Amino acid sequence: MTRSWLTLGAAALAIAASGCNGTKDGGNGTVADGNESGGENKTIAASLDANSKFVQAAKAAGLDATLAGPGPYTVLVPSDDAFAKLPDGMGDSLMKPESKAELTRILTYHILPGTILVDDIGKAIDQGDGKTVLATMGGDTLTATKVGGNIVLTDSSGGKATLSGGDEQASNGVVHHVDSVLVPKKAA
Amino acid sequence: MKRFILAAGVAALAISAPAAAKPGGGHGGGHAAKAQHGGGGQAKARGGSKQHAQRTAHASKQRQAPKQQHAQKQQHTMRMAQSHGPSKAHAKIKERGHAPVVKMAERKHGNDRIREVNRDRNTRVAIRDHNRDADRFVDRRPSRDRDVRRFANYDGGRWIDRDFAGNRNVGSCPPGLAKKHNGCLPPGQAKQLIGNRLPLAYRDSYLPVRLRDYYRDNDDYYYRYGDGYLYRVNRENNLIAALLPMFGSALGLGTQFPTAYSNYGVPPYYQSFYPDTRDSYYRYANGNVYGIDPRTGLIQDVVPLMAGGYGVGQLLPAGYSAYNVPYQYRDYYQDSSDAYYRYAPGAIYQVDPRTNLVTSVASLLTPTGFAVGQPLPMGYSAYNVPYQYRSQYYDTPDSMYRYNNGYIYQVDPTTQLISAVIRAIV
Repeated sequence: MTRSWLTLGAAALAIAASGCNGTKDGGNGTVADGNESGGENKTIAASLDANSKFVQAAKAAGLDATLAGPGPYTVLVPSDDAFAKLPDGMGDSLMKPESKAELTRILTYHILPGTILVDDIGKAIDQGDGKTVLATMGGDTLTATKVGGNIVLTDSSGGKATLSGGDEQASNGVVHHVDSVLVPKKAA
Repeated sequence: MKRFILAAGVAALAISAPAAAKPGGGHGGGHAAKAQHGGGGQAKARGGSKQHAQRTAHASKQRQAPKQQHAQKQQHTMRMAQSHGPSKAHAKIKERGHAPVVKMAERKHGNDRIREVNRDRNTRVAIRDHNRDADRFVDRRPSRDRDVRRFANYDGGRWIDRDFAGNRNVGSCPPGLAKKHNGCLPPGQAKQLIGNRLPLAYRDSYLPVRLRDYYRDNDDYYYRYGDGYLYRVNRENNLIAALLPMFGSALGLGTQFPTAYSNYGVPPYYQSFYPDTRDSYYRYANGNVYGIDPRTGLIQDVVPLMAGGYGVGQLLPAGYSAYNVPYQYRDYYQDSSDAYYRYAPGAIYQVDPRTNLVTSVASLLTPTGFAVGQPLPMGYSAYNVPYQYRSQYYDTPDSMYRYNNGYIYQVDPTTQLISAVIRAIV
């Protein structure tokens, strides 16, 4: 996985170059700082599987570099199966150049500002009497509820996705996994 | 019968000249139908140069002669005949009861020939002949019955372009090419144009008026428009450096915002950026926020949003030529010879300094700004402070902390008002 290492190196350099970007260990996030999990020192872009649909989609939309930037972002990553589940071959048509605007719209719907852990969502749901609204980079919102111990996200088109794993820490945010692609409702 | 009645054209000049009000406009400007931006009245059109020479002789006798350099203020009016089907080429120029139209310029557009003529002071048309051989007949119908479409209106001090169907628009696609998202050219072809010479047909195809503030000709590049694309051309060698599809949305500066969209409010998250005011109200369509003059209904501002707007590979508009990265990100993103950084609502973009093409989205920003004293915007009830700061800033009954666009903010849990900017963390 040379590419991972290269990205890691680039990310490390970027972090080093940025100066005051304090990580927990007080250093500049290089591997040598001895953090327990390697994840904290990799950017989100570096921690994701380069062959996954999500990463390919991010590349197609020009957002792969973004996820290697300072962020921090909370990224909800749909599984490859989730893309396959999209209706009418949308999973493939989205990757075409003419769909870039729509793809970007959908991807930015999966990126939330700041670092939100699964627990944080849970607490907000409890404080909100059973549901909470989450802002996304794209501008539209997600509604989060708890269903049988899992966190379920409802998108503005009415679709639902369940958080199936998360809190994967990265140097510039956190990654959670969802089992469906969230689709914002049509703009106009 | 001659289609071009140049002699009559002289007469038309004589007739319409005195009627021309303030900016005489100079018939010398008669080249491309679209008023030239900063062209200073030079006749660049191929057809125009002939006209220019002819007209100069006569123009000198008229008041407008000194004003030839104000190409933009032409008082020419042309009426355009739309040929809907290939067999309906309108050859007729002269009409009963009206000043004969004058051929001002001629250019090729694919297989069509387009003659641009002045109809009256305020209307300018282009007559498109699909088939030279077909137009031998004479159309004596009064102009309003003719299949004529206005090509541009002189209105309120500027020319407003219309497409061949009379709609205010950037331009139409040649017959046979569907109006796709990416302009009239088939997608593959568009990319291939980069690095090639600008097609001769577009040499004189100046930008629609509404784009000229965004894309100005300069010493290195000039901009031309054709077939739904905006071309950025290197002056040295006339090679296309970049192209930008303009057809995704037909709405632009100076055009009428469609009433059908008038209820499409700006998405809640952008509202703090674009509040309605007495001078401008904002609507959202096609991935753009439109600022609209309440009095006229005309679009006076276009803000492309991330999802539908400036994307990777697109040309950065001229208005973004200055470094404008928000303060909290300036240490992180500095311009260098390898990359420029420019901010537009929703993102900080990395731009190639050589081509001005957006190469990547360096950072996403939420469209909603946080402001001290304002309520915490919707969607931030979940704690989202980055890892490195969680041990320092955590929620208590007395205060909450939320992160947004490079800053950590303190929020009062009771009032939900943002009470302070705590620190910048980029």
